[in-house]
Amino acid sequence: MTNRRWKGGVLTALIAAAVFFGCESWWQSDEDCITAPGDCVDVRPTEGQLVVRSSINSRNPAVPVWVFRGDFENGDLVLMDTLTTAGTTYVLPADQDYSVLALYIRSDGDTVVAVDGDGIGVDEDDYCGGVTCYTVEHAEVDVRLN
Amino acid sequence: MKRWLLLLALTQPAMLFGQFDRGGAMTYESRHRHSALVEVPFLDHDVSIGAFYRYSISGERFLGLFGTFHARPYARAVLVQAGSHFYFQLQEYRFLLAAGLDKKFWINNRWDVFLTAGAGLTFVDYRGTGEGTFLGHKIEKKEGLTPLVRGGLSYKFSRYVFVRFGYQYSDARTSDGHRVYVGVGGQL
Repeated sequence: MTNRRWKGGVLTALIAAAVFFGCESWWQSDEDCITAPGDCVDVRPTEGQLVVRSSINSRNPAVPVWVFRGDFENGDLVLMDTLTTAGTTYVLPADQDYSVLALYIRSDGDTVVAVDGDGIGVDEDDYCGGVTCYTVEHAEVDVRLN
Repeated sequence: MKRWLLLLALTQPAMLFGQFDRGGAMTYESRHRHSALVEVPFLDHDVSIGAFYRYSISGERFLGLFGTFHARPYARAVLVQAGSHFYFQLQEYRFLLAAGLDKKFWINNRWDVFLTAGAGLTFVDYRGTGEGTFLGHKIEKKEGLTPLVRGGLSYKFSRYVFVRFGYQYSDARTSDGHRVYVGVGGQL
């Protein structure tokens, strides 16, 4: 009885470990693995998109924007631009966080600087035959005037 | 006659909600000291989610100590003044960590009125900045001490599961501190 209980305990511990640590690699052989998709990008991308959404109105027909690497207070300015449309996209190095500032004048004459930040990342997925596919996670910032 | 009945009903809640076994409730509160809730204070599109823990310190007085933490799990645009005519519009995550006292006023075996009062710390995380300075204007993080007050009704579905709903106030600095409060939890 004690022996059976001991075996039960070991089995429970093994199942718990499999669930906890991720059992995929224990029972998945090479035949079970997923084939890489046809549009697989197997070279790690070095660039991604930073999508900026801004406001354009009669008071602000041209909006100055600043793009910094990291938090803007670090002073690592990447580019300055003036937007005349309600958004734009910049192609910038991946694996970086960016902050974007846009300057507006309100109808009451007050100045509003809209700040937002996001990162351009790269996702990795492993497939059969040791193939790794990469996907860029583009950054999106919202500096529209509320 | 009707007026007398109405007055009686208002002053004697048991008439509205049924009988209350006070002794049973006191025993229950003394034996099941731990409560936990998942809670959602919200107002319009400003929604927070968090956890609340209560420890009963007096089963006879239905009094407990609580600790709570909740967060707005998404960024929301807020306006922070940095000069007489200068503002930053920031994408803000807001958090609240608080503790205090929680008192129940039982109405019957299922319903109670709860009153929560405490103090805590509200703090923020802004996307794209910490406390930066731009064009000579510095971002001031809108955080610090805040009271936390809640009141409302609680309904016990079963021996262990209950819901709470009512009102909450905390000083949220950059948004309205008055919230609708909803929570679901259990008592062990």
